[in-house]
Amino acid sequence: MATTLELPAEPKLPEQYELIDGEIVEVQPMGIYSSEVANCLHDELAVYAKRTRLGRSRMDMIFRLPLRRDANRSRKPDVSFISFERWPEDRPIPYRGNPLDVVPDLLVEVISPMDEAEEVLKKAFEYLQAGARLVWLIYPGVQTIHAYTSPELPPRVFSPNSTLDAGDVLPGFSVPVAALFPPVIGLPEGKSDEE
Amino acid sequence: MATAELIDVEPEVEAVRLPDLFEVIYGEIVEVPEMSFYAVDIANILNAFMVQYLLTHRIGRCWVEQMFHIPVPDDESRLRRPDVAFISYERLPKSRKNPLRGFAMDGIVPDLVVEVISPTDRVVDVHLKLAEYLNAGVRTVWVIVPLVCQVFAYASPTDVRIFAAADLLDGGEILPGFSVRVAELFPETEDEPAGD
Repeated sequence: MATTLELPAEPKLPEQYELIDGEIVEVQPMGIYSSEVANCLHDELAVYAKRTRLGRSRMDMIFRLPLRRDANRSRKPDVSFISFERWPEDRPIPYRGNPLDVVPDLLVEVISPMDEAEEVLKKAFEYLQAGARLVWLIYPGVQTIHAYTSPELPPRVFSPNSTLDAGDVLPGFSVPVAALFPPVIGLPEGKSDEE
Repeated sequence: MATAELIDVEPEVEAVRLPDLFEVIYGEIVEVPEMSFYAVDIANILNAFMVQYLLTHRIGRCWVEQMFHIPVPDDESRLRRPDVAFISYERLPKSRKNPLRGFAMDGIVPDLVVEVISPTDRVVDVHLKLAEYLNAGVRTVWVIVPLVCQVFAYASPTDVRIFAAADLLDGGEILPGFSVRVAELFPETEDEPAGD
């Protein structure tokens, strides 16, 4: 019987992934509305960046966010702001490869329908431990933003009718929280979910 | 003296073995997912602090894993089982006797409930649950997140106070003078909590 020649499969990286404890972990896609919220925020940060020339705002970029127990941990926050202090404007970006070896000043996660509560908070703490100055957790379901500057301290809570600011991290940045949440349809309301 | 009215399940169902821990949603028995040893531990520790407080502040009673009537607009007879619950004597007069049969007291909604988060709980579901409690008349919901040693105290889905490990969780107007350091709610575990 003829044997078939099996070629080793070329490892293909998933489109969206992170590197956790040496393993490629595929990232769940964001919900559409969460993605929209992320875009709204990124728009605001991009305008701020152009106006102040303090840094750059990015979406879906993968960064090395080292932890003591996992030096190569790499994450893909929904939105990030990297000051020119941390990555100068004219420093070349490597053509190949991932991740970018810099810890953004601000990291943002927009909660998606499938996100687990503990996982989300654990990630925020990781970002802070790796050296982020500010982490925003955005809860579209309740139009609220939690701002963490330290794992030991409770976050600042920005309620739906408040104005979001980034303190010293992005001086002068200011946007009404409500402006980040376009109209939405189909928010879960407690009816038993049909699987 | 009036006895508490009971919400009972359908007589036919009693013939079938009920799960150990269940809730009643849209008239259906729904088994409550198993909580981890650690989570149950946390609930009991908090309950113990509350029991101790209530000995010297005789303003109500508290329970662990008891079932309560949590009516919602499209499910008037819903029964939920919060991890810890406190009911003031304003809502449940001392004269009312304990139910002997049945699973919950009709029309008595706790003032305060506590939910300990499991690793698989989704943010969306946590928010739904706390909105349900608050809409039914619960005044404050405490959400305990073991992995990060924090307590989220909700008076409404957008009105939240967050207590970190070193903070003192206070009982606000519902448990005036109640105060426990958040870190004391979490017994030492084998694994590292979040972070190095």
